[in-house]
Amino acid sequence: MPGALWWLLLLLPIGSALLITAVLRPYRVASAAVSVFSAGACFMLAVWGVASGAAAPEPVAWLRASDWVVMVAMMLDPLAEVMLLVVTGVGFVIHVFSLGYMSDDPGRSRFFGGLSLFMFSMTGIVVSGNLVMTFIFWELVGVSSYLLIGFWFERPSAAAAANKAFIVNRIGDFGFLLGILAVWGTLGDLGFGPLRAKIEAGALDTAPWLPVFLMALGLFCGAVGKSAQVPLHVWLPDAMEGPTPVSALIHAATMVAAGVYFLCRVFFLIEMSVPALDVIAWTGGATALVAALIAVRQDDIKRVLAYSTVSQLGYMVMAVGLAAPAAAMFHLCTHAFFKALLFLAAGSVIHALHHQQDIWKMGGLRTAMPVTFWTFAAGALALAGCPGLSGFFSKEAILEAAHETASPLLWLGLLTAFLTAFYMSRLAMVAFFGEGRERRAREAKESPAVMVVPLVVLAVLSVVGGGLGIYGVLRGEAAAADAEGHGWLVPALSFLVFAAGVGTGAWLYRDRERDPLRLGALRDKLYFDEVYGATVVAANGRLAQFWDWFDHFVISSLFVRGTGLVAGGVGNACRFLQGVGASGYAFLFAAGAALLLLWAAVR
Amino acid sequence: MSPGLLHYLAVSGLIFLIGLAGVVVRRNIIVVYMCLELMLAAGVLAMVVFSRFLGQTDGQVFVFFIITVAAAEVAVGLALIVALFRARRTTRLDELNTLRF
Amino acid sequence: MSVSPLLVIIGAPLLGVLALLFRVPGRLVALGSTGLMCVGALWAAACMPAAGGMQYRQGFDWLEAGGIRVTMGLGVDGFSLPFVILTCVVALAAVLATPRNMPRAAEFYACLLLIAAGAAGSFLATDLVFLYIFHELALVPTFLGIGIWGDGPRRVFVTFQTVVYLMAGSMVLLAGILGLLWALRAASGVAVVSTDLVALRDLAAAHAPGMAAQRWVFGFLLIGFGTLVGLFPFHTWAPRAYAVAPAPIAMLHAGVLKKFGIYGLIRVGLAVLPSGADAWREWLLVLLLGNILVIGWAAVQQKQLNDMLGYSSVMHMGYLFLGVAAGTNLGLTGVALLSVGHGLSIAGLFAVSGMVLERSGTLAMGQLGGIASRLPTLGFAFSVLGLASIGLPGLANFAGEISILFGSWGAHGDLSWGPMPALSWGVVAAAFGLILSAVYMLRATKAVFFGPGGSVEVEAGPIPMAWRASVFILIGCLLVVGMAPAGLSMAASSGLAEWLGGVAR
Repeated sequence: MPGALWWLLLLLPIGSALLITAVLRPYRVASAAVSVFSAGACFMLAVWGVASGAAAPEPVAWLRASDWVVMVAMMLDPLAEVMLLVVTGVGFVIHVFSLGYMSDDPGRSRFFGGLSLFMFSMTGIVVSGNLVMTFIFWELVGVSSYLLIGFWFERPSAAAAANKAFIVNRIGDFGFLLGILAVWGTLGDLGFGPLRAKIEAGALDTAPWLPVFLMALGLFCGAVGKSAQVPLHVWLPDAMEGPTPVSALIHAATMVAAGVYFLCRVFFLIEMSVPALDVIAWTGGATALVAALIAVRQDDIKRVLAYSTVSQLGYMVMAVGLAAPAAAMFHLCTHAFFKALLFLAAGSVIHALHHQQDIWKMGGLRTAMPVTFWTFAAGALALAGCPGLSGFFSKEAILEAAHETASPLLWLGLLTAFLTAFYMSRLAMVAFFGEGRERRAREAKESPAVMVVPLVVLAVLSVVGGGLGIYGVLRGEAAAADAEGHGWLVPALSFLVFAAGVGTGAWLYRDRERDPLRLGALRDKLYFDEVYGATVVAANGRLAQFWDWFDHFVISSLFVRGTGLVAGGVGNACRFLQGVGASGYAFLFAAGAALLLLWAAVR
Repeated sequence: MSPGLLHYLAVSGLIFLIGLAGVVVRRNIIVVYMCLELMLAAGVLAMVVFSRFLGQTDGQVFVFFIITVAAAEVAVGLALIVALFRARRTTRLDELNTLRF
Repeated sequence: MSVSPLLVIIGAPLLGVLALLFRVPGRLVALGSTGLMCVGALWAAACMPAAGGMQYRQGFDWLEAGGIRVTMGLGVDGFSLPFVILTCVVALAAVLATPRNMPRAAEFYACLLLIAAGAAGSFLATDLVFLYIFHELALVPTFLGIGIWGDGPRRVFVTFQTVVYLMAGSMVLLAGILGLLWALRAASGVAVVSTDLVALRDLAAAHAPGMAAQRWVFGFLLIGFGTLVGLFPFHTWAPRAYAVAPAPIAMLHAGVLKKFGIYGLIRVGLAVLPSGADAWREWLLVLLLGNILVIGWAAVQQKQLNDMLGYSSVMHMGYLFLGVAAGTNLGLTGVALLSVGHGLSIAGLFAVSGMVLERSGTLAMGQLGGIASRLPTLGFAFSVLGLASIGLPGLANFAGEISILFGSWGAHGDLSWGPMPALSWGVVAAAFGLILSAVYMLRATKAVFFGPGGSVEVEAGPIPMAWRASVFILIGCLLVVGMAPAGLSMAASSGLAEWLGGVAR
């Protein structure tokens, strides 16, 4: 494939988005067709390009002032190629699924326009060759996520969730931007290639630890926001207000993984600071555990999956922090398959139940929706880490990394793995087994083929994804970071926690009508939202109130109006000299003239 | 003894002061106006006297101009006063204070 | 004198005003004149050589008195070109956005055209005195527009305040200009100082005024120009005036005329008084943080859509001043780009808020809601323009903001590991402001356009084509500049490099 064709990867989706927005809005079928076509074409292009090993195209200057240039440049190494295949592949499958899922929505054009915009932005992040370009597409995925979370903007909850997602991400991007500026300010370059060369040549070897630490931390901030790490994870569960295909594509498989991808991309820089790696590892570990705990006690099918996503993202970030980016990327890929699958299966359920999302209103769907059930089961087992399925291998790779560094994070990871198996078996037991608890659940039917086929495709990928050689490709790039050698301890332990988790879940939730566990704090998401509401949001409100008061009463009233009043007062004072009437003026005039005469006479 | 320059000037000054006092003290705009004319007349008298005593006619020429201008002024001024009276129903100076701020 | 694009740009609206004296259809004349302005701007941009300073220069001596020679001169370089294009586009959009049932339409269009002519003239003038005169020419119809066609009970007071405030600012500016001429004459000892900008710059380069003079005069220029832009704490006229002004006037003033201050500060202040600018840098930094943080937070608190837009506009001026404070070529290029982006987006936002007011009779965010489902066009336009104004990549503002932030951050390749310079702290605060801007803009979008309907009735009839055209022209320009900013940025960058010479760091 000629290298210039790579541009089509970006041009097709943005063209589709613009075309749909500008022209095709009223034509719903045409919009969907254009969008699905562009996604499919991008996938084919990606496959073709990767298979033929086409070189990256010539960079183009996007913004330039004197000697400062921002390039639109592509960097296509194995890391990007793997991610590109995942993004376009999963993206295409989800586009197809959306055809069925959104078939009766009046805003379908807008939906597909948003999806195309997202594909453009996400592909941009993947192929990006420099920090500013990453930041640009980073913001763009943020905005397409905002538009799609708020797709049903008439619902106040959806509009609020969209705002929350954007603003929380902006907080992360604040650090991200400063990190980019710091990198540019110290290393004088923005491209990944030149930066890597400079660092390998020892540009940071003599640096004090603090600036490098802050630089790495700044870049990590972006990932914290985008990949929903504690403490900025609060937006992701709320983002489930969007249509389910959006949750699958953006908020499970691809966009939220962009943070992890970016960390792997700039790993050469982050690894210069050991304290930063520690911070990253522990942030990831904490996220994995906290989110898994919360997921245990959620009742909304999408929220369980959302917290599970946060938890798995924490796993990946932890892997980066443990200096195992290949393992992180491997888990990212397998996670993309099975989490997209789980969300789409959940979407199939929600579609069949006419937008019922409470798992305690479901039940017995195993027989009503067999394909959905079996694919869901495959995804759930993969996520839980069932030996032989993709999730087992990738999770094991991460735990292996923790084991090698003898980090206590190994135990934290195992605990999370146990919880994962537990809540997934809980979810499956409550939603799919037993009897239907509601009429809608009893009358549910299997979804149409356009939705089922994507499920099957993803299910196959989830089952065999561990053996596709992805890890090998990735390790080839990061071989230095990952040493050889598999012990028996970690696989045995992860099998043990898997079995324990599934067993406990199945035993505890068999034929239940209510949740046997109370755990109010977990149900209330460990009060993150409440704490933020009482601190950050309240402080922001107070500051806004104060400065508004300051602006109105101190600047505008005291200084500006005050100046006016002083001028008016002086004028008033002078007015008494003037206000004596015509006769008075005549008298003063005459008196003045007389005085003048007198003065002249005396002189 | 015939009246000298100083006598004439004293009369002129007296008339001027009477006029000035009227302008300053009186509130009726017509009286004020007539007092103004009185002041003008004092000036005219002084002009004529100087012209007579200095033996030049310049002063008398000025007087003609003053009388002419005064006549025109009276026409315009009285017309204004009449218009003002029609509009405001008063000729009292202390009530005509619209333009004072 | 041959016909140059610049003559078209200034002449078209002035001729339009003349035509409006006779009974001609005002809207048609206004559309024709502003359309011609756009053609002129395109012509000027298309035929402009890449480098070489002021282009299309023409003019004549106008006055020589008191040791000052004033030349009526026009010209455009890479730095003023973005501003000129902005003026023409926003003028056309403002005319299009004027409702058809505007009372006293001919007078209103005359006001718009005069503002457009004045703004264009102030960006095109190559003479310090005419730079000032053209701006004053634009200010007077702005006042009339707010006072006569304004809305709300505080109309008269706000007009009065705006007039006094901006006139006071202009007087400070005039004092600065006179001081500048005096200082230059004292420093150089020439008998007659030409107020031609190029001559002034060269004179200052050859005989720089002393430090004290530079500091004083730049202070006057900073406060004078700053007041016109809304530099904290001289900004309180702005949100109030925009809250009252009719939409087209607000579009032209917030979008275009306000940028004159920032343009003048760079064109005159930085070029002629570089040491003065250096001396004021820390102060400017403090003030612009007031713009970004204080006003940013105040914007969060606003309850009226127009108030919020006014505050957001003042807040974004802080970013422009950050570029000025940095004084680097990159930062100043960012100023030009952000001026264009901000001008286009704020004009569009005011057009939308004007339409919201027309359809619902209120701008209170607490009473509005759900307009996007009743009038999808408005929701779409406001979302795009709002996202543009908070710096979404792909739209013009982002290119400007990122250039300013990078341009202000500091020297690249610097491995000295010293403490962070003051400007970099400013950049940190400015980056923090990006969060604030997202908070207030998205909150307003949500309150007005999303959710279920509000408590007031919204008239859902079709939106006039002219209004749509107005907003989509603005969005289109935002997209074009945002997607491919390199052309404009390189023009601005080379223009600045030529104009400021060795001055810019």
